Amino acid sequence: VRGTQRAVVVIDLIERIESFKAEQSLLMSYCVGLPFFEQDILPVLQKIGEGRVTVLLSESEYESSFADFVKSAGIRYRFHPVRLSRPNQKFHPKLYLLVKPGEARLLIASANLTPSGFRSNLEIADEIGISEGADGDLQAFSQVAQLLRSLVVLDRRLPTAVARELMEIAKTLDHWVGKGLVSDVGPRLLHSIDEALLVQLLRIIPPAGIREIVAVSPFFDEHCKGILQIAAAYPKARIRLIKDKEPGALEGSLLSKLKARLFIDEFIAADNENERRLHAKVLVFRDLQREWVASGSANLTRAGMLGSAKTGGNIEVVILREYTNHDISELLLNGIRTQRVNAKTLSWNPATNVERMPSKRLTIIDAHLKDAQINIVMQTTLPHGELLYRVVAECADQRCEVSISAKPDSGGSILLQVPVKRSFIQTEDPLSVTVQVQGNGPIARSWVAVPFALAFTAAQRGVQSSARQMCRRVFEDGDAASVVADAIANFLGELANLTEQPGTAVVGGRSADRPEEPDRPISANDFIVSTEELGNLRETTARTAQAFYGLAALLEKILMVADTDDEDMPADSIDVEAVEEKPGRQLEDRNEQSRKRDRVKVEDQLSQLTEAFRLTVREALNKEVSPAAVPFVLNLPDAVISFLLLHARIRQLLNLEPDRRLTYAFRDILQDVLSIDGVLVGTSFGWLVRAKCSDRCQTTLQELLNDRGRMSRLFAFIAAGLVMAGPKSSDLAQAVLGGLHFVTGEMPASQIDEEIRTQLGRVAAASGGWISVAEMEKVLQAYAPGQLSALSLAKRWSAKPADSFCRAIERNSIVSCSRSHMTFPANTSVMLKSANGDVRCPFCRRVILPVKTGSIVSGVLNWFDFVLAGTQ
Amino acid sequence: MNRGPEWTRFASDETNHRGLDPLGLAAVGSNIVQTRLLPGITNTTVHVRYYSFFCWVFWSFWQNGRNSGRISEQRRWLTRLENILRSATLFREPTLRGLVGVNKAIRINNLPGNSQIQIDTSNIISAFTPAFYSASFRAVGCGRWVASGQGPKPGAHLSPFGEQLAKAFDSAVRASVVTRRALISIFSEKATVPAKDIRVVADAVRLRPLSPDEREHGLLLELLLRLRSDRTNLNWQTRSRSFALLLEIAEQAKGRITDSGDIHKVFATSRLPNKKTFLIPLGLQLDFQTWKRYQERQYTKLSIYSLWHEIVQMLNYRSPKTAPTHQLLAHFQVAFQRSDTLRKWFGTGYGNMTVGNCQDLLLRRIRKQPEEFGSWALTLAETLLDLRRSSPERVGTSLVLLMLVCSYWSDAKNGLEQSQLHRQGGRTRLSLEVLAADVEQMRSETLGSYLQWTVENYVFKQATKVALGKLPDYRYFIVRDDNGYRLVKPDQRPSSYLSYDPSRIESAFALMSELNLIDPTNGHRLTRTGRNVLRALRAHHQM
Repeated sequence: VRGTQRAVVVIDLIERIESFKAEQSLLMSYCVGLPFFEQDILPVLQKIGEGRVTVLLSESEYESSFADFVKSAGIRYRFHPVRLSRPNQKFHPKLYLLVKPGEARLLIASANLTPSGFRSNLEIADEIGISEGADGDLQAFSQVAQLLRSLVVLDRRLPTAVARELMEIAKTLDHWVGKGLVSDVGPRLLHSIDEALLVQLLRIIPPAGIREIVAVSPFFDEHCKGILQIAAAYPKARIRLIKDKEPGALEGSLLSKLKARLFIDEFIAADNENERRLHAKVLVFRDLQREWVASGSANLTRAGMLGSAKTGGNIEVVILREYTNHDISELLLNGIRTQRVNAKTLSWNPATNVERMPSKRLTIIDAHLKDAQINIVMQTTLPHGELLYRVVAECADQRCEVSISAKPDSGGSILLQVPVKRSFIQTEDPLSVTVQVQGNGPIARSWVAVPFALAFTAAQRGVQSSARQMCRRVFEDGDAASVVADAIANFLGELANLTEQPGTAVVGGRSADRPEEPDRPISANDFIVSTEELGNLRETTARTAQAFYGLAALLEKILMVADTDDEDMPADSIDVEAVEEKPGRQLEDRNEQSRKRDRVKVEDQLSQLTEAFRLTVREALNKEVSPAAVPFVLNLPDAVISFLLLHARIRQLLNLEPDRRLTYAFRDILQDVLSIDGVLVGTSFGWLVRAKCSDRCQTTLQELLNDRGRMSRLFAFIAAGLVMAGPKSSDLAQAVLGGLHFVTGEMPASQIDEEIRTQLGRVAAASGGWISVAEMEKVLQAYAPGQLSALSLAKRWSAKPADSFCRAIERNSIVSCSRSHMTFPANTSVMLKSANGDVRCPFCRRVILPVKTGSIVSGVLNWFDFVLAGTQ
Repeated sequence: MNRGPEWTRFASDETNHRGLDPLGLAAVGSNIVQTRLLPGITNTTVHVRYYSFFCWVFWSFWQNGRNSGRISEQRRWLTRLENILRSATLFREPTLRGLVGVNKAIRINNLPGNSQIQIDTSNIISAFTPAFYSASFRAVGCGRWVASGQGPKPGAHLSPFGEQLAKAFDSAVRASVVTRRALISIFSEKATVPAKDIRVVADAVRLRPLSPDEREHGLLLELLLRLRSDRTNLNWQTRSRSFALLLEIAEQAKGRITDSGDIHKVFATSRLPNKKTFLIPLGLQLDFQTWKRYQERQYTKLSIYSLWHEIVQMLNYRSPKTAPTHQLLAHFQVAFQRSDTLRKWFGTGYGNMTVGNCQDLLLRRIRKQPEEFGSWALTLAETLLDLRRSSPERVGTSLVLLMLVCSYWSDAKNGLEQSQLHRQGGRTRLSLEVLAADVEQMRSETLGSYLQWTVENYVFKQATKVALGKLPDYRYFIVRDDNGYRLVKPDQRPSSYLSYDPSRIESAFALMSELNLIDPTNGHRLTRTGRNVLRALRAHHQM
């Protein structure tokens, strides 16, 4: 037994990833345990900033991912295979590159992105870093940039967005490296895309002086070519192989010619843990004084060491460090216990793991969602005629199937465009497509990238998932939960849309120019969010996110306890023996005090959330009327009322008193979104009314309202909001419904069709009995455009001869007289709006005309005149 | 910056656990029984006298003026008397099953009469826990729980009915001078009690059947059947109807019912073991239909768990290494191609048939002989429960049973009573409605593709989803790792998942047997008392 197994320095990969607080990550691994990655790694990578994550893996492992429980592929991170030209080649690196403004960290490991790789195997990992001030491992990062560029050139089937991202990162790294003096100092990063690793090692490590090689590897090739070639390349070296104890990995008889030089040890233990499997790959070359240590992904196999990806080998990446003594390897090797074995006793008998390679005749190289259709870019070697393709799109429990005829272009590329229903894509579940050539032809599968969702920032994602999680917990009925959660999630989704600024990709915190393309056009499908455009809105959104997290977690705790405490319905004991063995909880004694404390906490969190949400909405409404903001503001009523329902339901569940203040606050928001009262001095139009009058926004608004479902939801939520506002708000109701009428062009009172009724029913159900369909219908039916007080006032005054009157002029919220130019007293606006009789200017004594002038006002008045004339 | 490569830290969070429902499917069937068939009864409530015993424990606690306001005091009292109950029961019946805490109970059989028995030992599990009787105690109406701070006297409090039971138990215990004397030491503050005192009260205290002439008998009968109590308590009446239904089946079967399996067959086929049609009493029609829905849920659960069983078998073979996903899926395709069951049901060309073709075939079959659906499904389910069957047989049978039940549902759902039960659980628990909707969506797929989809979605994804839902507790049975799946929990007993959800029928029969309604010695036959009770139940439920 060799090795003292004294305390050694160990690295915790998850801790190293988490501690860096990356805003952008590029992860490469042969295989990925997606549930593990999504649960344990992804949240760590998306804690702050944009949290852009791209995962690249081998093609065979990508094919297996469709059987896995995947929650976020294509939605929260890009997930793509790297395709190599020959079937037995492997994309085998384990590289974890983390970037944040001005800084990058790279972990070069033997560990795949799997539970075993990150938690239980004995793996090797090294770390290098660089910062913008040309500080760090410049040589290695220069080689990282070169690796990324080589990869893009090697696999021309990488999706455009991924290729572009790799190029952007490479450019940023080059930029940082370029500021320093690049030399051959420091660690080197070697990869096998262009040249075999052994060739590169031979160039760097002079064979003549090497006296000893220690090679740690769990896998070897059938004919021991990897070992024999290294032995031949370093003829004076004594070789110590350290392998895993798993039998069948090495054919010892083939190594007899090295008998005097070769010693084989089997790994026994490390960290006092006997259950670890050796998966590390390390090569140590020693001369009399110095040593070189290469560690990373390459096994001592033919495909790993002797070939390049261009000549049929794997893609491997190792980091090579040079030392002036043997201390490092001594320390490393003393950290494990090994046992000498006789080579003759070892035989080659690997488990029959035949990799399943997908059909090369049909490959999906990119699939992404755009404008409610999935664009599938494929390559095929099938005959160049028109073929019928059967496309199945799946998303959670939804599935749609279409058949499309298509013909490849001269390069064998095919573009399929598959329309999908909006409801199909408005979920938080990943979307996948399967394409099959009709008549049992070849099949290809792919996850679909959803640029809209990929563009969310960490804060937005957090709010969205917290909102959904909270709604699922709070509402017993699944549909009620989805009505509310969808509205809140859409609100946040549109917020992301609102802040979309193409062309300002942020890599390493610096706006990157459009990179030089390898040799292909880049489509403009990519989706980039600027970090600088949001201003206050981003701040308030982040606060909302924070409050959502806190509340969601707290509710989860409290409501879960409530669930499990229902003892009126005793449950079966699933494992009586287990209970017998563990006498624990005896007489039940719930800690009521702790529950009360939790309730107080919830109330507190709920208040914080409400305030943050209200501020977010306010900030959003302060934005100028613009086409980009229209979808977002159009969703506001849905979101606001949903939030009210959620709020009320939480209070009800926890036996808290209803909070009416919130209703009043949100009543004002409804007014700000839709009120028609802006014709009068001292009052303003709702945001959407102004948008409707804007030439720039009109088309966008109309396009959105052509979606019947969206319009019905809007009617239903507004009706619910007005019911909640109470009967005393009938003026407000009229003004808001007037705005709704003007914006949608549909008269609320007469448009209660089946679709609206369905939506009313869903909202009523979500309210848990607070609001009924009948009440909502009543509110809508009470609308009478002829009785809109603002319009009747305007009508009454617009016909008056101007000479005998003075006009109220509103500027920066100050109302003054057009004749005397004096500022009116503060309450004049209110008097003008509500007075039945005349209001006189206290300075010139003329009667004040309360109607505003301007194109919006006349546009609104004309429209209503036209509508009213039609109804009479 | 780092000085060089380092070994990675060992940080595995994998722990062995006692979970039994890797796909999270058991909750639906259990919930149907728990809320709509036998509320208040569980698979552990098999001794009827536990109810009167606990009433007596708490009644005597308050009677003895022990009301310091601390729950711990009541807990000590409970421990003391429960230790007496255990010793007394084992003294008379050393092999009795269902005695909670039997492993660590104090046995007095071979002790001298004057030996002192430690009865304050609290390291034994109490039967008054939700897993055994405490939840049931409340649900059947014996008492309620007052938490600390909710009232001046925290702890268990009896209902008026519970008090009657307690008094009846007490009078049985105090029936003679010697027992009354023994109670003095039992009720004392001393930590030990002479073995002879336990022996003296053994017959009065222990768990045992009750004869109809005992006062407790009538009260316990009423507790479970609620013939005279509040008719508005739906749970009580539901339980009462289920007891009535079980008695009715036993009566009509004339001793041919031997275990719960026979009862399930009746629910499945509406036929008795003697091949006669079970005549469902009018007032129990709805309950019978509910049992049928429960039964149908078992078919879908067994179908999916059979596929799970295949996976576990394969991973066991590879353990501790992973098995590549595509190899696991290939195993199913091989089994699919070799399945005689599929050939028998769909003909030799089933390999090229679509889901739609197969569904149409099944529908025709069901419509032609609707009364046979139950026996077909039951036969297929019994095949799946037989662990000796080959992979092709199990895989084929799973597929046929799953599609058969889905076809049945798609055809009958609108006219089916209690059909809402097949919506329970939704996508999370793979309700029949969800399974049928999936079949409908996949009509144009081949049967082989559907099988692969089923394994991917109902087994791999479902197992991971359920485990993730239980975090931070580590509840993985299999885990996605390296290039495939790996077994985490190697000692999975097939009986834990490849079985019916607890129907509580065995418990119900055990309770009825202790109340002398059923004689289980030669098939389940109604006793004279049982017939009288059945008559009363018929009148009560307008059967």
